Amino acid sequence: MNSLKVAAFLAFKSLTRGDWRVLLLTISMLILVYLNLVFTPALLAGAVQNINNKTRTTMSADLLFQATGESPVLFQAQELVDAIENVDGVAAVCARNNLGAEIHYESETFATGVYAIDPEKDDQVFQIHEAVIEGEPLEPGDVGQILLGAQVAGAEREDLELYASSLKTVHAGSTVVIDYVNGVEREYTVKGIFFTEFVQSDIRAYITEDDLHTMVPPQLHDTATSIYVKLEKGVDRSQVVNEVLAMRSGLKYQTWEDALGVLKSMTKSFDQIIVILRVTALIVAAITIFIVTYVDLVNKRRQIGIERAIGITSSSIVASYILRAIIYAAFGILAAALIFRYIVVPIEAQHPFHFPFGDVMLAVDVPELVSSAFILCGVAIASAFVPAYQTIRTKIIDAIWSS
Amino acid sequence: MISVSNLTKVYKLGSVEVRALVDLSLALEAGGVTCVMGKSGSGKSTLLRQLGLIDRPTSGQIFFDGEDVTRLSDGARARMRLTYLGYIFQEFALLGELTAHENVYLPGMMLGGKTHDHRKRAVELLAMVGLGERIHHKPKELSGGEQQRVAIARALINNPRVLFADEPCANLDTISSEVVMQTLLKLNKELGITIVFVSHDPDDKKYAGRLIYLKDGKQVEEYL
Ligand SMILES: Nc1ncnc2c1ncn2[C@@H]1O[C@H](COP(=O)(O)OP(=O)(O)OP(=O)(O)O)[C@@H](O)[C@H]1O
Ligand SMILES: [Mg+2]
Repeated sequence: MNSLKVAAFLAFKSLTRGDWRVLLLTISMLILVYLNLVFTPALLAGAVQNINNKTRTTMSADLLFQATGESPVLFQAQELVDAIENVDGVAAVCARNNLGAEIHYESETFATGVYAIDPEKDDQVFQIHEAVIEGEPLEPGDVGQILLGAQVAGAEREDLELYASSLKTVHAGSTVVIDYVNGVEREYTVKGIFFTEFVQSDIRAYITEDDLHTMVPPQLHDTATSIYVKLEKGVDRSQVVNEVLAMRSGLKYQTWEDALGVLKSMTKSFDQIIVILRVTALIVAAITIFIVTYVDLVNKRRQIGIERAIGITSSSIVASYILRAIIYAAFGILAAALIFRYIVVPIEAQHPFHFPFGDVMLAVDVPELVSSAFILCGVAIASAFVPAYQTIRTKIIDAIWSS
Repeated sequence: MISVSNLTKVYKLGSVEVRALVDLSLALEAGGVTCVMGKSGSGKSTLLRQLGLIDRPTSGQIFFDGEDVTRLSDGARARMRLTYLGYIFQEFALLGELTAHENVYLPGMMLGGKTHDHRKRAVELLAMVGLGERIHHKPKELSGGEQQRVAIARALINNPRVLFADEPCANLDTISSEVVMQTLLKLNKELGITIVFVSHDPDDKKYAGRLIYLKDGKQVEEYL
């Protein structure tokens, strides 16, 4: 207790009466370290959130159901959609037919999936209609009209990731020709172009169910290749899955995580990158505190000898260095947190980083910030303890009377 | 009472051994003023550091009031230095970042009790050594003699029973030396503190009730 009091006294006096430039530089270093600790993880977390979010709102919904077995087609789709809509926790349901096709415009060709949708239901599950940048979204009854992803149309936006392989100059109102895999060839007017800023989603094209019905015999009007389910918040997903699977045999399901596909490995890599960056930042913090403490100890070698000779305990002296490190860390963290929250995040929001899945905002995770702060403090304590402890282990007379 | 028996201190510098104290045995009366004299290198400082529990002897024993304190742990020795002993160094040995006042009450804080009381007592002690006006000065703003008197005040904060002073006047002029020595004598007279001081100035004999002459780490009869 007295030791701690004396330690606090010594730490406070040497901080306020020591070289303030050293104090300032040390705290600046820790500010940078803490920003490093939180910035990249926040950015990558923002990216992961974005990927997840775009996947759910433009591609996979929360859950999707498909037919098992040889034929990829589900029959009596309407009946199944209605039944799923009645399951507790289901917010919206829609059915789609995926038709493989080649889209031609002038000399350009783009092979992709064309989805036949019921616009009314589809818009409740997905947000593609909100991403229309030219023309209009699809409406029920639209025949001979197609909605193209920006990466398909090109729309003369040369900065698009896949512009080179797109149809390049297609705009709303252009006429394109579609060759379906079943041999049907049709002309479509481009009703709209959507741009979700998610490449995997923007390479798709959509027509209405009503259009599909004009191409297939009536017995194939009530089909779907996938049924997409949007869940209410906080719903037990496995419960819903079980209920749906019990409705009909020959059903299989995918979660949106399953649907992430290649992006799954990317988010995993992000997590590894975060660990590497954090460890590096912490090593920098450790070395900084170690050097500052070490230099101070070397300069005060004789003083520390005298303190010990007059009866100040070694533990007080070590504790005073630890307290100083904690103060460096605390001020560094505090300043960095303010800078991050009130400068970095707003600036980044104004000038976001662009990724193939859209603009990424920094995702601020408070528990993460707090745990980073504690880890940084822990590292600071250890880095002050080691040299301080070594110093007080030397003999008093060596500290006072040897040069 | 402090006594030592067969005290030997050997400094090892690589393969060279310096025998600073050789088989020394002596006893010091409680409440007295003792002066340790001898030529440079005779082992005076070494003796005082062993007595002040700042260093450990190579062999032999040190007794305080009959109790062997030679093999105490570092913590127990620190406690002894804090509560029982005061030490004044040959070189000025104040803490540069602290004011005179703070230098004096720091060991009080270490001992415990109310910091406020220690601060008050530190002011009294500084007044006693004639520095009542200079308590908020840093060591570098004080003269050598003033620093040495601050060191005396610091040594007194925890009411020690024994005060060791290693050539407290070595770096001072005659007038400052006289002030410092008179301060020490006053402590002995008024508070009954046992004083052991080192000097190589034969004139200082007059302050002491008892003289110990050292030569090559051994006690000798006459100072030569
Ligand atoms: N820390 C040390 N390491 C090695 N040798 C030392 C050390 N301290 C003292 N000595 C040696 O021990 C001997 C006694 O030294 P000491 O300092 O006790 O002498 P002293 O009588 O105090 O001399 P002075 O009057 O010059 O202060 C000397 O030969 C000195 O060189
Ligand atoms: Mg000496």
